[in-house]
Parts: sequence; structure tokens; C-alpha cells
Amino acid sequence: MEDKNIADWMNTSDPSQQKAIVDDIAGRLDLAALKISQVFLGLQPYLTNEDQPLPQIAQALRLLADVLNQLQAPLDRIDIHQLTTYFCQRLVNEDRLGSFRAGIKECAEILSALAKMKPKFPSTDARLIAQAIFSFNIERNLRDQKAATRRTLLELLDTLIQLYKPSLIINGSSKAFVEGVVLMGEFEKDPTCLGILLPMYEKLSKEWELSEDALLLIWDSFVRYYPITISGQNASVPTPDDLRRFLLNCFISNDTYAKNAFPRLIELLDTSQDLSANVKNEVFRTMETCITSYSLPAVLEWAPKVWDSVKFEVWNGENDEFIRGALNVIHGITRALSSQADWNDTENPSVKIVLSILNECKERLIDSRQRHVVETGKILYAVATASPYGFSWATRMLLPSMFTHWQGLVSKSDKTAILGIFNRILEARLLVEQELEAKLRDEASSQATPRGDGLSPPTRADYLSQSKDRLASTLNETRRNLVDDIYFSAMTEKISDSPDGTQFRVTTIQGLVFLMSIQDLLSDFEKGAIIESLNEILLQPNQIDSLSEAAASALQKISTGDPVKFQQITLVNFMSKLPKSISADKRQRKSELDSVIDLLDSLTKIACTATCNAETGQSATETDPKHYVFDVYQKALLSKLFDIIKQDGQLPYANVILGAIYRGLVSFDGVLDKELKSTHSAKPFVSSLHPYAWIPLTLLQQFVKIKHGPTNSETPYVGLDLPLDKDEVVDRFVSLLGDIITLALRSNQTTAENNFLNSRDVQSPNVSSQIWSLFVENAPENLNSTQQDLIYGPGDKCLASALSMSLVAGVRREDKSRLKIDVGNAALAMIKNATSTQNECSLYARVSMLYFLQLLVNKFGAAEEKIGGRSLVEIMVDLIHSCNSNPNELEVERYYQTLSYFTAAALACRDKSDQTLISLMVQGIKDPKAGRKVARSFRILLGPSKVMCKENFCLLRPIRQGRLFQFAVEEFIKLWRAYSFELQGDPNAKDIKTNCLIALTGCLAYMDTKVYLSHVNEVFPLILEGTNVQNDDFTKLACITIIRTLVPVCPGVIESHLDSVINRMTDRTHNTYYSPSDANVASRAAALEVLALLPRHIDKVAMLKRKNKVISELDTALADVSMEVRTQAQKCKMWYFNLVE
Amino acid sequence: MGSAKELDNANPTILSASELQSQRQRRKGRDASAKEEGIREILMAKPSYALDPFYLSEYSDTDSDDDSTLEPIDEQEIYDLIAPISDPEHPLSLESLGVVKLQDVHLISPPDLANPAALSRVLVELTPTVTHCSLATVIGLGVRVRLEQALPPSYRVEVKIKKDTHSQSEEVNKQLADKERVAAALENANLMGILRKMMEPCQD
Repeated sequence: MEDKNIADWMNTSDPSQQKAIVDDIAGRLDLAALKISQVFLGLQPYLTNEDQPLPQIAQALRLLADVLNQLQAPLDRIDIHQLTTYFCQRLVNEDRLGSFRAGIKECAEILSALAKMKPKFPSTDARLIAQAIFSFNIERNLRDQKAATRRTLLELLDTLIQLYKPSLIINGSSKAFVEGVVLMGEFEKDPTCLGILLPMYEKLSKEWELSEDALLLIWDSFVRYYPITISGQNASVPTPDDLRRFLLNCFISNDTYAKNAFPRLIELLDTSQDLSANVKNEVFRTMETCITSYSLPAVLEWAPKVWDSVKFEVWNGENDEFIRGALNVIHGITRALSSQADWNDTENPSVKIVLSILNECKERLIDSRQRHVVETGKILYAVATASPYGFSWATRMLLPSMFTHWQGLVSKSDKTAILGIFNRILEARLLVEQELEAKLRDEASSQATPRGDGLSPPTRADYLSQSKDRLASTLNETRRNLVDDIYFSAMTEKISDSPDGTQFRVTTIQGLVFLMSIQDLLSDFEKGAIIESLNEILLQPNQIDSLSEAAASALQKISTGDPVKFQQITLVNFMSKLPKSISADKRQRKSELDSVIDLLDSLTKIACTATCNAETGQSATETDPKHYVFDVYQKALLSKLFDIIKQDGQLPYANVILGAIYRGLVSFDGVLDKELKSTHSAKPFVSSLHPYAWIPLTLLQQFVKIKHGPTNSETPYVGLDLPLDKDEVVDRFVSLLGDIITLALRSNQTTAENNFLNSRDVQSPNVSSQIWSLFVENAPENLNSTQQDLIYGPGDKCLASALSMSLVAGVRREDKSRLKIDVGNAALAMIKNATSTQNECSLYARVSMLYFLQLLVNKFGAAEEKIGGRSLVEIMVDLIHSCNSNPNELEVERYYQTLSYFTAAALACRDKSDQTLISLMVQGIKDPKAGRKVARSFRILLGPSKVMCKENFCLLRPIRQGRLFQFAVEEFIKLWRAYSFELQGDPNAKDIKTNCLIALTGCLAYMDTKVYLSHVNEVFPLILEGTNVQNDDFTKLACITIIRTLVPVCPGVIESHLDSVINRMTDRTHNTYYSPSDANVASRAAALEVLALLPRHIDKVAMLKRKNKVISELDTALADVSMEVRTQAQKCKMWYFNLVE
Repeated sequence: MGSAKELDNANPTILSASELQSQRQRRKGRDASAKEEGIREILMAKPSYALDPFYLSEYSDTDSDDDSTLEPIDEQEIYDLIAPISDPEHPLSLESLGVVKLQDVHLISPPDLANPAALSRVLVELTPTVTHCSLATVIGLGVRVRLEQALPPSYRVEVKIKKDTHSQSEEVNKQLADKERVAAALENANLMGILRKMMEPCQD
């Protein structure tokens, strides 16, 4: 049986068959139905036959290896011993038999499988195996074996080290074993082998009590690889980072290595000229790891020398990465030495070393004056952030002399440099405090278990607590100098507008923020004074940008840490600067509004770009106290807005305030969104409470009222109560109000639980939808049917409808039921409203009706809704068909306008009506009166929309572009050709052709190039022609922009029209006093960009022929009246300058 | 500035970014367009229906006349043309090395800007980083070529070494002013290669 199995094994290379054989043998061995000796005997003919080919022998051994690895139960002790002895003999091969040279890897695997059969494996056999491996290495040259074999032998050794350490120590000495291992690694360069060898060295050094000699052997072996540059090429091989880590672990595996490691690393740094950047960085990393990993005695011995070798890198170095590496080492030195508890003793060796470092820094600061101030500051920071005691000594040693030094400084740049160091010290103080607090928290929460620092839990807690006290008292000693003499004096010092002066003030401001952040350092009065001085900077007109930014950023940080001070000082200061009203004089008003905008921009940055990190214990509204600053700011703005709106002629001012409310909301919503994402599982403050819905609701409550017609007999409606002003001013106000509503509703902060739309009246089905009532109290019950009718206006009702649209815009598609309106009816009403010529509504109100229609079609499927048996699409088609007989031109225009918005919405969501609607539009371009506008309206179909957008949960399917090309662009090409040839006699042919170009460009302007790339040969002549269309800047610019996109994508097409392209572009760019161009600035600049692309993408010979002509035109463009055009011409000229044979 | 192999000034002073900005004196309100979107941008934003042709005047889709504001070439524009030119010795711009300075760009424009035949004169004074700079002529040539390429033909360009900043300024100035020598230099392919390399940043 076995003979057959083995014969089968020897004759097959099919893995599945091989597996079956192994499973069978192993299974029967486990059941004791078979003995290992039988298997071994079956294999014997293959193993010892000297005539057998070596691969056959290896194949036979592989069977045994696989079987042994598959066994569930270990073999008998005797069998194991006999097999071990036999395979060790094979490895040693004293008789130098040829057959024993085969299958070394398999032998190693068999021995490994046997060694793992604990406890049956005789531990004394471990030494036998180790000796056999070492003997094999010496006698038969391991170097000749493949890496996989060497790796298996190393793995076998590693197994022995892990399982049979005592057996490998001969006569109490491990040296012989270590020698054997080191010899195996003598020539090793293979990453997979090193991946086993290096961790083995680490284990031996760390866990075995090796003699100095043995450790030296290991050191000499692994240090050869430093810095390691060997790397693997595939995933199974250790990465360069793995190998680097293994080697680093060897370095720190035994303290004895310190005396070898540090000299070696210092030597490498000293010969830095020959080091590559990577090597040098590696040396710094190793130094840092060593210094923080060796025991204190080793560090004490080497820290001064390490400091000497790295300090000049900081003081004299130019490479930021090296400087950072050196600073990490210095930080490491202080951290390592800080583990010593008693730091008050200046005779303590640890303290002495750190003091000597600080003394050198002090000398540098005082003696060399400004030469190394910044660098010394970095060293101080590295020392001070290492531990509370590091910080304590750094301040004790340096601050007094720095104070003295400061007094003698005159120039602002010198003072800025020293201030930078003070800032770093304060920053270090904050960092160390945070670290200590984290440790104290850990300590309180963790069980009383001893840790690696050797301190018992109570001692450690005491130690941390003392550290905290010490830290708190450190700056108190020098508080007066630091706060009064340095920062307050710097803040009051006069500065010029020069960069030095500005930088000085900015650095001071940064320091003040640190001062404010340190607990209990400043009095309330001092904190108030700092805030006042920062406010003063921002409230000063025409302030330098960088100074304003620094002050705003500082106030933002201070305010989030102390919200009440924001409310009591900053907010009051800023709001008191807002005028009660603005002037009626246009110029004066603009200047006043500009000041208000600057002021509110700063305040918005302070109050709306972060949540509070300190709580007041109270909230400004019912929402999260972390929103305190934002809430009080928004409340103040609302209050100001309501005051302003009471006065006549103040709507532009109200717009600015409303703009600030909106800007603040956008910023704050972004902040909350980020927090929501970063703390995904965190629960909101109160889940049913929207964080800022109170803002739009307060606004609506203020401006939305129940109105009655002039005679009081008409049906009451919901209208807006706004002061009279120009349409565009009122429109801006309503549009901003709408934006605020939409933003609040569509925000990620709006959940099913806190959604404020139609949530209150869920239980009262008869109450009108809040879409129409706009949250007004006691709204008429029939509002659902009356409020959507705007055919006869009035204007304020139409504006209220714009706000209704804003609500619909913010509703998610899946929340259709929340609307509580009849989607089809509302959409039809909007068509009627938008096409009505009898309502006196503003532009924004009218376009809002169209947006309303779009939202209902795109998000809520209104196109197919039936109203009176006809679908909305059919009604639209009927309206367009009625245009032919409609004498009212304005009405016809409005029908087509409505059609274009309807089509855009249907096309975007790929409604089945889209083809019908697009065809109607295509036919519309032939209309002698409305045709031009219909042609232009094609740009609405793919153009960006503020309302019909993804943010408002609209469906914008990518397929819409292809469908528009198919149903419209291809039609325009056909029409244009028809009116160019067979229909050219038509009296309207010229206009229709132009309309084709305009409509086609309107489509392509927002279409991905890849959609029409396969038709580019048909499209391109029309695009070229489009650049000539008169009185249509959009079309001209769009055509040039399309050409600009096509030049790199399909240069062949451009080349075939090269002269036309150049002529069309230079016709646009040629803009002189006597011969002005028909193109605007944007088109002229774009044309120059096209010309600049040609030398890069078009055949050089072809371009060289035309170079002179283009250059002559470029010289003209260089004198264009517009700087933007000249800049493009200058760039373009360089491309032609470089175009040479 | 110095020879390519042995640097004349291996460690030149480099101006910080804030110092470069200072030459443009950007104050609040002057360059509002570069700022992040603030309240002003929200209020000035085009209405959402700006694309709608039904709201534009009939048969005209032309923007407001944007050519009505003349933006004549000034010293700042000329300075911006030469500031990014890179030093042949260091990978740094002439601006950051302080070789070109805004206050050393002089422009004399004719009274009637509309007259295409009227000539404008440009004088640029260069400050070499060291007084013995051997590449002063090459840099001067680079500046001159750049301006001749980037300014309209009606501009006459003169490039000089600033007084007392170079030990051989007279000789260098003579070379830079000699049209024939300049033309001959531009025939030299190697030199043109260096100039093109220097002007590469101008194309960004």
C-alpha cells in the first residue's frame, strides 16, 4: 500500500493528487494504522540510491516533510529521535554521499517538524540539530544553497532558540551556539533570510545572558548591514522598513551595544560629507531610538558625546530634515534623562548633562547675539517639551538672561527672533501640561499595576502630581517679566508698516494666545486687556492683511477657550462699531458698507470657524453649549438686522447683515460636519434639537406675515413684510434668506429626528403645509390650494413663494411625504405662474417659480403626474404648440423659457419625457422672434445651477450629456448643413444658422469632451464658425474654450484646420485703438491660450511656417489695453520664442 | 551670480516670501479677488439666473464693456515680467535674490497712450549678489531678451548694472547696450540655451 502511495507520489506533479496522498498517509499515521517506519522504509529506495537523480530524492523527502507537517499527533519519542539522528547525519554527510546532498531544504523542514513535536521531541536532540546545521555550514558551504534553503535552515535554528534554549547552552556557555549562528550570517544578504536572522540576533542579545565576547560577535555581524539598503521586490519579502526596524531592534537589544553603537553613529555623522540624505536621516533616527531605549547608565555615559555631535547640525545646518532629526535626538536625550526622579539636585548626573546643554544654549544666545537665536530656540523647545523637569530647567536657566538680553535689543527683527523663543517656551509649557494631564488621567483610570519605570503606582502618581505642581509654579517665578516686560510691552510698542514691524506684531500676537491658554497664569484683567488690544487691531480700518489675519486667528482661539469673554468684550466691541444706519449718498454708503463687511468678515472668522473647547456651563440658545460663541454672535446679528430693517432705505445694510449670517452658517456648518465625521459615533447634544434651525425660523417669523389684499376682501395669503427698495436689493435679501433656509434643511446636521419641516403638525393633517405657510402662526387652512396661485401676484406673495422653493430645495428625495403638497398641481401652478404676464413679480421671484418647477420634476417626479387627465409634460407640449398662434410675444418667450427649465430638470434625471422636450426646443430655434433666445437657452440644460444641484439632492445623471448630444447637437449639425445648402434660400436661413451655432455651443460648453470626441470632425467646423458669432460673448468664449480643450486631445483635427484656427484666434486678439476686436477680455485671453498651445501640440514644421505671422499678431496683443490679455500674450510669446528648428 | 562650476556666491541672501510681497504692498481691499469667499463675495455674486438668456437684453449677449477700463503697462507689470527669471547659478528667481527690485524699474511713457507710434522707454537696473559676479552680463542679457519679447515693439528697453554694485559695471553696461553684440550673442546656441533655461519659469 505504502509502496504504491509512494510510487504514485514520485510519479505525479499534480498538486491535488499530491495532497490526497499526503492526507491519506498522515491520516493513517494519526490513527496508528500505519507506522512512520513503514513510510520511511518505503522511501528508502529513493533516498539512498546513489544513481537516483537529485530532484527525485528531494521529491521523496518532500513527501515526508509534508506528512510530518500534516500530523495531528506527535510521533513516538524513539521514532522522533531516530528520524532526527538520520536527518542530522544527512546534513552532516560525513561520508560525502552524493544522495545526501539532495533535498537540504526538505531535510530542514523535516527536522523543523520533528522539533515542534513537543513534548515528545527529546530536548537533547536540539543540540544535535544545531550542530548538524553548523557543521553543514562549515563543511558544505551554505553560500551555495538557494535563499529558500538558507531561510529554512535559519527558521529551524529560530525554532530551536524559541523551544530549547537550555539545551543549546553547552557547559554553561552559549558562545559556541552564537558562533555557529554568526557564521551562518557571515555572507547573508538575502532580505528574507535577514528577516529571520536579525530578529534571531535580537532575541539572543535580549533574552540570553551572553558574554561580552558573544555579544561582540553578534554586534559585528549585524552592524555590517547598517544603514541597511537591502530591500525585497515582492510582497512576501520583508520591506525595507521592516528590515530597518529589525536592525534597529538589534541595536537596542542589549545595553552592551551602547559602547559600540554611539561611536559608530557619531563617526557616521562626522563624515557627513559622504552621507546621502537618507543615510543621515537614518543615523538620526537610530540615535534617537538608542538614546531613549538604553538604560540610564548607558545614556549618562554617552549623552554628552551625542549632544556634541548633533548640536552643530542645528546651529550650522541648512537641511531642515537633518535639523529636525538632530532636534529629535536632543529631545530624546532630555526625555531619557528625565526618568531620574530627583531633579532638584544639581549634582545629579542627569541634571548636570541637561544643564550643560542649556548652558551652551545660553552662551549662544548671549554671546553670538542674533546669529543662532532661532536655532537655539529650537533646541530649547526640544529640551523643554521633553518633560516637566526639562521645561523647568530650560526656563530657570534661560529666561533671566533672555529678559536681560531683550532689554538691550533695538531692531524689530532682533526682537522678533527672541520673541519667537519666548513663544516656543510657552508652547512647550502647554504641550508638557497636556501630556502630564493625559498621564494623570491614565493613572487614575488604570489599575495599580507596576510599569517599566520601576516606580510603584502610588509613587508614580505622586511623581506626576509633583511634576504638575512644579510645572505650574515654574512660570510664576518669571510671570511679571514675561507678561509685563515682554509681551505687554511688545504689544504696546509702536511698529512701522515694514515687514519687520508686521512680523514683530504677528509674533507677539501668537505669544499672547499661548499666554491666554496657560491655566491661571493671567488675571481676568490681563486677559481682557489682551482681547481688547486684538480687537483694536481688527477694528482699525485699512489694517495690513497679515496682521488682521493673525489677530482674527488669535481671537478665534481665545474665544473658543473663553466664550464668555467673547460675548462680553469682542462681540460688544465689534457690534458697537456697526453704524445705526447707513448714508443715503451712494458713494458714502458704499464706503460705510465696505467697513461693515470687513468688520463682519473678521467677526465671522472669530465666531464661526470652531466650536468652543471650554464650556460656559450655560448655552446661549437651547442648543449645545459648545456652540456658545456661534450662537451669541448669530443672535447679535439677528437683533441688529431687526433694528435696521425698521428704518427706511436700510435694506442694503440689512443685506450685509444677512450675508454675514449666511456666511457664518456656511462656516459653522462645515465645522460641525467635520466634527461629525471625525467623531462618527458621538451623539449630538440633544438629538431632537437642530443646532441652528432657530436662525431661519427666527428670520421667517420676523419677515413672513399673513396678508390681505388692498380691499381686505381678497383671500388672505402668506407674504413677505419687507421695506420698499429697488427690486434687485429686495431680491438679494430674499435670495439670501432662501439660501439660509436651504442650508439649514439640507445640512448633514438635519436628521429625521430634528428636521424642522412639517414635523410639528404631523398630528394635524388639516393644517397647511409649512412649504406654503412658511411657519407663520394661524395660517389659513386653505393655503395649500391658494398660496401656489401667483398668476396675478402680488409681488410679496411671489417672493414668499421663492422661500417655499428654498424649503423644497433642502428636502431630501426620500422625504417627499414631508412636503405635504400635491407635487403635480404645484408644478402646474408654477408653470402658470412663470408664464403669466399679469403678475408684477421681480426677476428672482419669477426664476424661483421655474426652480420650484425644476425641483418638483427632478426630485419628486412631477413630469409624469396627471392633472385633469393630462400629464404635466403633455400640458407643456400643448403650451409650446400654442405659441404659433399666440400674438403675445412676451408670453411666447415665457413659454419657451419655462420649457428650457423643465427640459433641464427632466434631462438631468433622465425622465422619459426628455427627448420630447429637447425636440420642442430644437424646433424652437427656428422661431423668427423667440428663436435666438431659445437657442441661447440650451446653455441652461447642462449649465451649473445653484438650485438644481447635487447639494440639494437633485438627480444629475451622467447620461444626460450623451442624450443631449444625440437629441440636440446632432440635430443642429443637420440643420446647419441644411440651411447652408439646400435651404439657403430661406429668408431666415442666416439667423437659423447662427441660432444653430449658438445652441450647439450652449450644449458643448458644459459637455465632457469625451462625449463628442468621436464626432469631432463634424462638430469642429461649427465650433470654428461659432467664434465669429457677433454680439454673443458667451458663444464666442465657449467656442474658443472648446478649441483650447481640443488642441491637446485631438491635434490632428486642429492641424487640418490650422490656418483657420490661427486666423480665428488672431482675429479675436487683434485689438487696437483703430481696429477694436469683437471679443471681450476673456475671449481675447482664451484665444491667446489657444495660440500658446499650438507650438506644444502641433507639428513643429507646420508651426514654424506660421511663426512670424503669429508673432506679429502677438506683438499687437502685447499692447492690449487689458493686463490679463497682455499677460497671456507674454506667456504665448515665450512659446513662440522657444519654437526653433 | 557666478560661474557655473565655482560659484561666485555660494550662499546668497534670499529674501523671504513676506519681503517679496512687500514690494507689491498688498493692502486690504486692493486685491480682494484673491481672498477666500467672504461676505463681499456672497453679496456681489452673480444672480443664480445669470445664464438665463431670457433675462438678457434682446439680441445681445455682450458683457458690460470691459475694455472701458484702460490698464496701461506700469513698473509693477514690467517688474513681474522679469522677477521670475531664474539665476543661471542658483535655482532661485532674480526677485528672491534681490537682483531685480521694483524701485529699480523705471518707465517713461509718452503722454498720448493711444498713439501707437509713440515710444516708451524702460530702464531696469540690476543689483548683482556680489560685486565680482561673472554672470552679470548673462543675467542682464536674459532680462533684456525677456523684456524685448514680452513688451510691445514700441518699448525701448535698457538694462544696466546699478551703480556701485559691480566691479566691472561699465564694461557690462557697454556690452548690454551694444545692439550688435547683443544680436551676435543671441546667435550663440549655447548662450540661447542658458537664456531659455533662465526664462522657463516665465511660462508658468
